[in-house]
Amino acid sequence: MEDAEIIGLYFARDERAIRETGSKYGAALSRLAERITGSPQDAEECVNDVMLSTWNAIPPAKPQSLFAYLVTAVRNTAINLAVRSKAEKRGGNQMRLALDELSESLPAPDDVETALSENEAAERMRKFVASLPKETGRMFILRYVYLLSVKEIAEKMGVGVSKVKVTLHRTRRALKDFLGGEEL
Amino acid sequence: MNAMTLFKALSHLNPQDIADAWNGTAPEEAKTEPEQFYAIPAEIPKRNNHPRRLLLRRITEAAACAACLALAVTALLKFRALSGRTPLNSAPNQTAAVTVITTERTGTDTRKTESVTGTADTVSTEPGTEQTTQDTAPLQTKQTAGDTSGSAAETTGSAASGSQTAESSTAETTSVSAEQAEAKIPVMVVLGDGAQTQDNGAGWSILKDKAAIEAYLAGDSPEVTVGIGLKSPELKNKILSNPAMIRVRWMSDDARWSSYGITSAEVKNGVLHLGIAVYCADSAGDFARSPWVYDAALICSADELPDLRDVQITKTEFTESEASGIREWMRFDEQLDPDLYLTVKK
Repeated sequence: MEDAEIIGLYFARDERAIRETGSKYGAALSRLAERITGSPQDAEECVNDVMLSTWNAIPPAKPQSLFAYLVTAVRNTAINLAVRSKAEKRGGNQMRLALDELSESLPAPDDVETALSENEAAERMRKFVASLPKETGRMFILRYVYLLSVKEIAEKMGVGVSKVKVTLHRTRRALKDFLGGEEL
Repeated sequence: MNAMTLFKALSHLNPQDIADAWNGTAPEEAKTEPEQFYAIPAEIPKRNNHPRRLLLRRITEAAACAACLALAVTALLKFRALSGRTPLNSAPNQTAAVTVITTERTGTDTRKTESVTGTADTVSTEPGTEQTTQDTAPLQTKQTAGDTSGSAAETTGSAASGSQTAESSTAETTSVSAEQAEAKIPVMVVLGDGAQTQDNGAGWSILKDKAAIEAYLAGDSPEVTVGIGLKSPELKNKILSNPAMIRVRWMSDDARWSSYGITSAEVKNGVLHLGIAVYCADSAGDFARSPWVYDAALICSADELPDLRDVQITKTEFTESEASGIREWMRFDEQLDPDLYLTVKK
């Protein structure tokens, strides 16, 4: 079923909307949540929460891309859950790796950017991703939004693992320059 | 700001970008491009078939044909001249010393050896017409099968004769003077661009056999990555000023060409290790200043791949490359292709 039809079901308050969403995107969303939380149970909980919140949000919300909307929602929910459950270790393996990698892109601690708010950071990230070549931007998003491993990205994009590694490394460095050089 | 802030901020990217990244819309866009490009106009304008117009059209076509023929002949002559080993580099102050050779192994263990030597401003089409001044190598020399002039030898002055598994010829080896010998050094081509180190295994590639190099140069090797211009001015200058260039296809989405220059060389245990760094010309002006880039491309189109010319091996150069980190890309434990080596006229 096309996304527009599924959204139409939400607007009609037809519960098939949740079923169709789950059958079309449920597996991908669960994998994303599990990469962040590191736990299948937490991942399932995240996806269920998102399904409910989506049902409550649409309408009035009418996302242009249902999948992107769901990814964003799952990602945020999973991050919050991972941060809350610090008992063992924070988040899943891929999330920890992603955080480690992203920390390379941070400006110096005494930089004026230190106090950058999440909204400002989001705006900058949007600008940064928009400035990237299409292929590079895609790799960056697959790695740090979807938390795919380098190997998975290489397979998905049909390129070599080393190319993905190199591209991501350079992109992180470019991000560091971008965050450090951009004026407020 | 911390990494978590960045990580969370990524949730707020443009939703379309997020969706496109997953779905991979780029190939679809590429697919539609030719259709737009070659779209047939709805209405084709009619030709003016007046006799004078027709005659004028015929004359124009004939002139165009003649011009094309002249261009083709010129290009053919130039290509033949290049294939005939005319030096490609016109830099007057280069002191070339060594030439990389490729050979073909046949079923009868006979090797066809081609060599080109010469300084940058000297035309030389015969093997052995230019003497090198190499004194760095613990070279292992060997006579090719079928050569009647006699023999091969361990070169003098080597600290240790590196045994090379690549050499498997049945020719006998006897000692001769270094001046008469043709030293063959197995070649390992190490490609990289300085952006990475060996630690993470990225940013460099080792091409150890002829087929891999040919695939690389043809742009068919997705595993090979090239640089994006993150070069220090010193490295950039070093690459641009180096006479030995090969040219490879840029593997990124814009499919432009970039150029590699040899920036380091070392003979270790009888094996020559070449460090090659990339310089991707970022503007037409760079190409204009480096016309030899185009010449090198012609060589790479020919059958004798890789044709790395006028490699100068000096300790100084190696030391410099070590300082720039290029040495980190080198590996010394790879099995080399016996059909790929470098000859040195002693």
